[in-house]
Amino acid sequence: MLFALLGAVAFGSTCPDPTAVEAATAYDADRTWIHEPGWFAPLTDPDKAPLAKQGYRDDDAMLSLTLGEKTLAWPVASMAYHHVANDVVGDQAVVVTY
Amino acid sequence: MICNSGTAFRARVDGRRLSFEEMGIFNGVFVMKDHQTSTMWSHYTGEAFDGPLKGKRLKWVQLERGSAAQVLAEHPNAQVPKRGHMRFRGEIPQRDRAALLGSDLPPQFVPTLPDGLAARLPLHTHGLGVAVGSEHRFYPLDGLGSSAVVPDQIGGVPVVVWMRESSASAAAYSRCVKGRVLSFRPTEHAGRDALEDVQTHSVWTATGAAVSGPMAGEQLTSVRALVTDWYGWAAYFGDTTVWSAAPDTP
Repeated sequence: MLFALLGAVAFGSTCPDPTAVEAATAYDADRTWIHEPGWFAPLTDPDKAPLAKQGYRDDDAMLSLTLGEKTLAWPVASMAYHHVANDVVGDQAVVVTY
Repeated sequence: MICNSGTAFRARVDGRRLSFEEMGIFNGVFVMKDHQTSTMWSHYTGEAFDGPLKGKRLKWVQLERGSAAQVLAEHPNAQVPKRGHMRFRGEIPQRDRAALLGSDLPPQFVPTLPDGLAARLPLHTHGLGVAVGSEHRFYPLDGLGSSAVVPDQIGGVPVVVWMRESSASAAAYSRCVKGRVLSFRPTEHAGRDALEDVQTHSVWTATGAAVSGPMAGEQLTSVRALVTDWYGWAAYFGDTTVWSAAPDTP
């Protein structure tokens, strides 16, 4: 009870923004290795199917993204090849990387 | 498997949808180029490093990592790209990760890293990196244990780090809900790992949604966090602390 009261006093009726990120990376082009385009084809706007009907094992590793009522998942074993998925979840264009 | 770090961002900048592909390595993890402007971006932070959009930052979206069973339990209507549209690459089994700890990275990766990263932890130490404000903390997953619930404070925000059911599935949430700071303990809901807050005994599922108790209908806010290997996290955030029973200093 005391902890909760202290928290309420500290933050009032609102909470600090937990998504704020202030750091900017000191990019160093001399430490960057760039290769020719096309090494790994990104996965862009592919046709979808229900995850439940695609025959994955229960323990197959997945990345998933939920926006609103929509959830889209990508098998880690596939993202380890493509590295980038360009897609739309709900009405939001997203890029998923691995 | 090398990078081992999944991230997601909204792909619209100044009203224009961008699409990307992997193009190389910086700080040991990949950089990507957008097809529309040829700007080079970090897949780790969403920052535009070089090109016409330099200085822009993609908006972070919290990506979840878990098993197919976990995804379906939480999102029964989840969709996935059809198998015929994807290519697959085998992953290194978890049991072989130990053999990689401290091992050399591919030769192209090494010159992209700052010096000295292995002095604090083996390069391939698997963990959850959490960033709030200007503060960064790395939680080695092997040290947390299954179903661990860790209260902490980062960047002035009270957070809970939660490892669920498998070592690859970890998340961080703000413990502050409507101005009230909660503390949590592990419980179960519908046969799956869940959280119960000590203050109201409400039950919160893996998605951060309260499904029973006085807090039912409320939602925990995700903190920017990603499951990653030490070398990428430490290369990007050299000031990071490393969680242990008591956090260390950089």
